[in-house]
Amino acid sequence: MIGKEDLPGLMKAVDLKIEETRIPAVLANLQRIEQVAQAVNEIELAPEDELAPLWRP
Amino acid sequence: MAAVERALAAIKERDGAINAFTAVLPERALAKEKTAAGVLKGIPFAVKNLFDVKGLSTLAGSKINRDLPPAARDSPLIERLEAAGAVLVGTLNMDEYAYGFSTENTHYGPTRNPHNLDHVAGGSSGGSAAAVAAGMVPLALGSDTNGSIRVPSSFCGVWGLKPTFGRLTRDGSFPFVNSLDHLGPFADSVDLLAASYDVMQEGMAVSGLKGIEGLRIARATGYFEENAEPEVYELVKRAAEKLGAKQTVDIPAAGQGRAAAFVITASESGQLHLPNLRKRPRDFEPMIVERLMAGAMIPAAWYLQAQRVRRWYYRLVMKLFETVDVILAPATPRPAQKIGQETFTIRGREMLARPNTGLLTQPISCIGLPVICAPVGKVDGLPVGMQIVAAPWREDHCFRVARALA
Repeated sequence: MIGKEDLPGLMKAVDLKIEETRIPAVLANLQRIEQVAQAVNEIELAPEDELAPLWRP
Repeated sequence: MAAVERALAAIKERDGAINAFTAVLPERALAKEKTAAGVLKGIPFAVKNLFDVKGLSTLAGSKINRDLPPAARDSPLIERLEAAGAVLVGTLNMDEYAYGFSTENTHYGPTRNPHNLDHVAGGSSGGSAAAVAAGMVPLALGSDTNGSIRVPSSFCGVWGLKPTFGRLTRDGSFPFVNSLDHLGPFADSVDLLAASYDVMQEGMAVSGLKGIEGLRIARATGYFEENAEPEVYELVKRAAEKLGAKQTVDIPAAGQGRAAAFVITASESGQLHLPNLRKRPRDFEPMIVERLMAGAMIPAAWYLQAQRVRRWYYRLVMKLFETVDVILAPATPRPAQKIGQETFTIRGREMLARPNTGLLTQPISCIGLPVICAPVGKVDGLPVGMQIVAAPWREDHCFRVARALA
């Protein structure tokens, strides 16, 4: 699981400063997304499973 | 009194309690009504406030967007409805930036469910559904990324259409998740839902379509049964019986499809708002700001895997449509929760209410399928809806089934 110690690197990567009081809630949200993402990341895909097309107006 | 005057009077009388509208436009509406002509002549309608309306800043439920300059023109969907004689009377409340299922908006107040004012109207197009359910307007427009038309339709007991991804232009609307955003109508009848959709779209007309002969209709089991309260699922079963639908299908990998939608939503919405998350985080809706911050930081590998899983899941579901034309599924796990309620239970499992309200809608919109949400009854005095799902571009199938239920 992503931990508090991982946050500084993630924040730096996207140039986002987060107030200390928000850190627990941001971390909880990240961990929730990580938990959901596991259901996606564990699927073995074939090379032909390309990206879904994005919006084209 | 004409319909537009009646709508303006109803808004004045009822909206204080419901809080569906964020702007009412009597001068514009009364002027427009004088020249209105077409199949929707004189029908009042309102739009979620993420649609551009000439002269207004496009709020998208936010405080930050108040600083945007007023829109220079109406969104094309408003133009199309007005070209057919409909009359815009106002703009409607929503979850900030469409990131929610309850329309509990801190900046503009919660929109209340007309069936019980202590309960949410659903979201994120809660103002749209509540305005129709309260009889203030018969027609409204909203958007649906993960369920934001279908959830409030279900909670408020009105008809809602999320067309196929890409069917209706999104020009002149404020985005949420580019890969998943759809626009569509809410109405107080199937006829009006069809008529309004027909004037906005360019495909096969659906007005007047009826009869379900030859349609292979199936009820979704598995994920869609397990994630709905028994009383809600029972109403779907009854509707299926009314339609003579004996077949059942288990939509494969629906949970993974929902998970892919969740990751894509987190990443794209976080990235979209990153500039303002850096500059003015305190101006965001408190209920979403940390979610947006988290989404902005997730690894690209998760996002790209989710986009690939979406394609994989799409292929699995398309195989189902070789044997069925229409799939029936509950729209929401439960009826509307109370305003401020943090958790609910589904078949005895306690979970967070706000992120899980879209459990049954996200697997459908994730791959862009057309869906009508139909009111099918009440549980504990509150309405619930059923999703009528068809293969891409087959809104006609959805409408034929909807009319058989109306």
